Amino acid sequence: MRVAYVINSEQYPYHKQILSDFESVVSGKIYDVAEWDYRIVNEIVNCKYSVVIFFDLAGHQFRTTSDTLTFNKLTCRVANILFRRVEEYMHVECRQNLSSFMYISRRDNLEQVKRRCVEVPNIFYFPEFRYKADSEEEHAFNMESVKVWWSDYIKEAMINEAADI
Amino acid sequence: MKLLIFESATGTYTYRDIAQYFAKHGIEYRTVSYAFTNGRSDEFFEYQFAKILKEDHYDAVFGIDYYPPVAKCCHDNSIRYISWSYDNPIDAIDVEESLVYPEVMLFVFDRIQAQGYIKKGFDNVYYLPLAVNCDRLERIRLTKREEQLYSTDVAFVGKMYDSMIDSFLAHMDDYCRGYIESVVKAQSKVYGYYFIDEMLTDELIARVNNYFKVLNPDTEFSLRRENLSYAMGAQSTKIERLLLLKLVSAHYGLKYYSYEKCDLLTNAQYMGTCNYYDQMPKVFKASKINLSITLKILQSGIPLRAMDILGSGGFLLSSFQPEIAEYFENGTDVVMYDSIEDAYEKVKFYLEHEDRRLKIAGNGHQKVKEYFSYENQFEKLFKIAKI
Repeated sequence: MRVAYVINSEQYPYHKQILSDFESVVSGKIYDVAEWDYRIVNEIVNCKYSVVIFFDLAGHQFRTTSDTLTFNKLTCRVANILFRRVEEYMHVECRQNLSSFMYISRRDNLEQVKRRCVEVPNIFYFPEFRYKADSEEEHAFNMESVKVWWSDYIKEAMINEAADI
Repeated sequence: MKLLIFESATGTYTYRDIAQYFAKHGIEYRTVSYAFTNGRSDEFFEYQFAKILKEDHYDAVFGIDYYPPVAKCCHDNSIRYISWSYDNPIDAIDVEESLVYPEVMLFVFDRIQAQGYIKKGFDNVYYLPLAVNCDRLERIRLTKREEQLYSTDVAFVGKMYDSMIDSFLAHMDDYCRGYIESVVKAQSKVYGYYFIDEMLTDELIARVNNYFKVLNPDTEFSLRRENLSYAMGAQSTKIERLLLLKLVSAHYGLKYYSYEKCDLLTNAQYMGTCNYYDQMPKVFKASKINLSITLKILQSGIPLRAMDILGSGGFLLSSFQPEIAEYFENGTDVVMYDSIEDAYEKVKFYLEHEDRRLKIAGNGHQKVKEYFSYENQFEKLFKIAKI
């Protein structure tokens, strides 16, 4: 199964640190918004990944000529994981493809996101996660959370781990 | 009334205006999108879409463009699927297989296309020209900088249509290749009548597919008539577009907006792409002449691009199209050409006669505003759909 991560290490320096927590469960190619230009958007869209995981809506500023999210072109499953409060994101209300799943790590934010983001399907809670982890214990805790999340996600998103979609 | 709008995940040009019309007229709606991988059945989509349908009560699903998997889901969930397509031909496979569902109503903007379906027994297919939101377009103003950026003698916004024809031709015998190339060339010079379908006889399609088997006995690929027709239509449109843009740009200022720069257009100014909602109307407003070179396979209908130009108040110079001739007066509301030489002469004439050009642009704008508003077209659609 081909997986990609899209991060923005410039805007969110912790993205690189938490990638290891995710990669211990599911490894994938990493695209860092801080290091790319628009052509990489097309590369991701055309690369036929099975799953693309976005941290904190990295790259969601890109639009098509009809003003929809460029990443809505993805025909694979998408997971958007939001580690911060919803108010901090500019593009959180943009309509997402039905194959997209949004995970909110702030439990107190979940209902608010569901009410506010009426054009975002599949909004779920992300297990407790320390995105600014700085000890081995915290990383171990995070890995467990990622394991739980991934196991739920592949069921909910009907992902066949043994085969490409 | 509450509708569930289905829009392709890649976005559609008419969505915003349709949603705005619904909001303005108190029609509740929710919108969902999906990018189909193969256009056929999709278990994941069916599950997700059914889940959305169960979350609320909807009077119908309203589709911007037509998708057979959505039709299947609506059939499975016993909800009406009313689709208004702005693509021609419909960019999906198994369209006819899904039109048998009683829940489906398909509105197409090309009369010949609608008649084609009706002749085949699909009485749930209707003809409805596209609409334009003049109120929105009228509100768009250009800054001084934008005027400088977009102003030109002639503008063209559109694709160059890189079709599959070369790949198909590479696997054909000499006879088929020569025949198809000749038909493409001939069609590029003919306006108002699409004859490619008639030229693709059963014998020819069989010969093409037999030769594929000779070249590769294990191949399971079989070229369908509609795919070959589309590729040929796209190629003849490409020929027309290139020749006309090359000729015009040799004598006048020409800016073109497309996904890719065309190396053959050495005198034309490539401007990249333009955003449909904000930039494209500005292009049309700032350019003296706006070309609409219709895709040949669009047999009679008024393309969205022509509506966009007229709605923006731009001067429209269009290839001859039967329904433009039916609804608009040539030389009064719009100007049409019937050969590349004719187009060039008309560019020359209307660049030299600004007063007539501005008068025609104004007339064309008034006409689309009066007859092709979303209010007009949705009134007809809802009357037919009885909702």
